Formats: sequence, structure tokens, C-alpha cells
Amino acid sequence: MKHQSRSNRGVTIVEACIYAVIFAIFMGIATGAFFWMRKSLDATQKIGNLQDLRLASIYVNNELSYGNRILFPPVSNDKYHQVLFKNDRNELLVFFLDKDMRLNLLNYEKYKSNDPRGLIIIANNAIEFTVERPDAHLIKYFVRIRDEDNKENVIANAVKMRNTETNEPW
Amino acid sequence: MIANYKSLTNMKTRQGMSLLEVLLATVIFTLAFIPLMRLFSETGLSQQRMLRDFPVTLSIAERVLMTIENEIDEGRFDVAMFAGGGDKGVDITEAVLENNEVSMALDKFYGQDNMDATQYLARCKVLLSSKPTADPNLIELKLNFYWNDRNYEKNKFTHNVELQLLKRKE
Repeated sequence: MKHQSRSNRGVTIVEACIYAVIFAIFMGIATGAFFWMRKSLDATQKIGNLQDLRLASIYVNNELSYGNRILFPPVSNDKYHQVLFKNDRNELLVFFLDKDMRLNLLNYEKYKSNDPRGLIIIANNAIEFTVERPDAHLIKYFVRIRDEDNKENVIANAVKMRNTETNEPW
Repeated sequence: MIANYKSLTNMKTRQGMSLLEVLLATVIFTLAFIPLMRLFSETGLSQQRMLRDFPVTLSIAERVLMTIENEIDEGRFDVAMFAGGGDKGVDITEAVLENNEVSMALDKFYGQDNMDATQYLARCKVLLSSKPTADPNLIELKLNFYWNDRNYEKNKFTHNVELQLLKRKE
């Protein structure tokens, strides 16, 4: 009888305060864990975006470096947003940014013959593709993309043309 | 007497833990767990940052080397200037950072927008060296791109990309 009344008496204010403190400490630990997990998730996402950009950059470099003639842009210190060139198989290709923010590579000959390889998406969520051609055999470019959280990533690279000696400068 | 003692001992073992014990256990757990968790998270984040920065720095290093190769072909670059400069080469960081696209790419991965490019001098360093090879017609160019992330000391470079280029003497 005595035991039962003791177990039914509830908690004192001091006990409630102590429970609250314990709860707060646990919440603190949990919040800390979520904070670091969130940071880790953001970093992972950015790694993915930058790797996509790097792959795009490798693709641009591979295609351009063996091109035998650049039709656009001309040699100048201005900035442009497309590259029109002929590759080592003498096909007409163009790198351009479309209205859906995709950086594309269009192979005109393949596209004309309905080959699915005629239009390849190099990068998604691209907001800028800028090209400079300071010399006949050098193309400098950068690609800027924006991720789902509106964070921007930029990759800047350059391509030394290996096969343009016979046709350039024009 | 013996029976009383037994029941007393039994009661004592069944009574559970006091609030003080629970509180003490929580505090000890917290004190041990938080630093451990931070240690694992921060080590992981540091590695993630390195992976995130790697494609950006590699592209910038490629861009610099491609530009240098083009300058050599155009006869505007004196390779002999970079034969000295110690083990790793001559510091060309300022020349690299003067480029807007390179500055922008660095700006994005360091995460501080709209600031002067020269602030990154303390965070990245680009060294260029040249040396003769066994083949007297070839010269070896070596570009070292050092960088650290913002959590490290200004002049302590934790990461490095090294690119080499063999170039025929004109």
C-alpha cells in the first residue's frame, strides 16, 4: 500500500528539471550529428557536380584537340559562347548551350542522318559556356553550372589544337 | 537476520539507477561521443573537400600547361627562364590568378564570392620548372599546383597536382 502511493506520486520539479537537462543533452548530440551529416551530404553533392563538369571538360578537350579546323570563334580577345569546328573525320561539330541550360555537342553529319549520336548532352544545368580564342591553335573555355540549391560551380580549361597547322590561321 | 539481509540486498540490486547516475552516465557519454563524432566527421569532410577541389585544380593546371605549350609553339615563351627556381620551380601564381576564369573557378570552390583574386595567393601556389631530358631534342616542363582548404594554415599546402609535359625544342 505504502509502495503504491510512492509510485503514484509523480515527479518533483527537480526531477523534471533533471530529465529536461538529460533530454537537452541528447538533443544536442542528435542535432550535432545531423549538422555534420548535412555538411557531408552537401560536400558529396558538390563532388558529384564537379565530377560531372570535369567529365564534360574531358569530353570537350578530346573532341577539340584533334579538330582540324575551327570555324568559330575567330582569333580575338573577345568572348564567345559557341565553338564550331571540323573534327579529324572532317565532320562539322558545334558546342553550344541550349535554352534548357544543357551544354550540347551537335555533330551535324550524324544529326542529319538521324543518328542518335548526332546530339550529345555534355552537361546539365549549365548557365554559362564561354570560349576565348587568343591564338589560332588555342581554345580557352569555362563552364558554369548551377545545382539544385542554386550553388554555382565553375570549371576552366584550355585545349591546344594538335591538328590545325595546315588550315590555320585563316 | 540472514533472511532480512538477503531481502535487503535483493531490493538494492532491483532498485535500478538513481537520477544522479543517469545524469553522470549521460555527461560521460556526451563528453566522449561528441569529440569522437567530430573527429570522424571532420576527417571525412576534409577528404570530401579534397575530392571536390581536385577536378577544379586539375583543370586549371591543364589550362595553364596548354597555354604554355601554345606560347612555346608561338615562340613567345622562354623555357630557360624556368630552369632555376629550386626543386619545384618558379612561382607563377600571380600570372595564373590574373586570369578571370581561373579566379572565378577558384572563387567558387573556396566559397567566397566577389573578392579580389589576389587573396588566394596564400591558399594556392603554382610552380613551373623546366629541365633537359636524356633526349637533347626534348625538354620537360613540370607544373605543380598546390592548394589547401580554408581550415588550414595559410601557407601550409596540403594537396598537390603535378602535370608534366615533354616538348620538342624548336
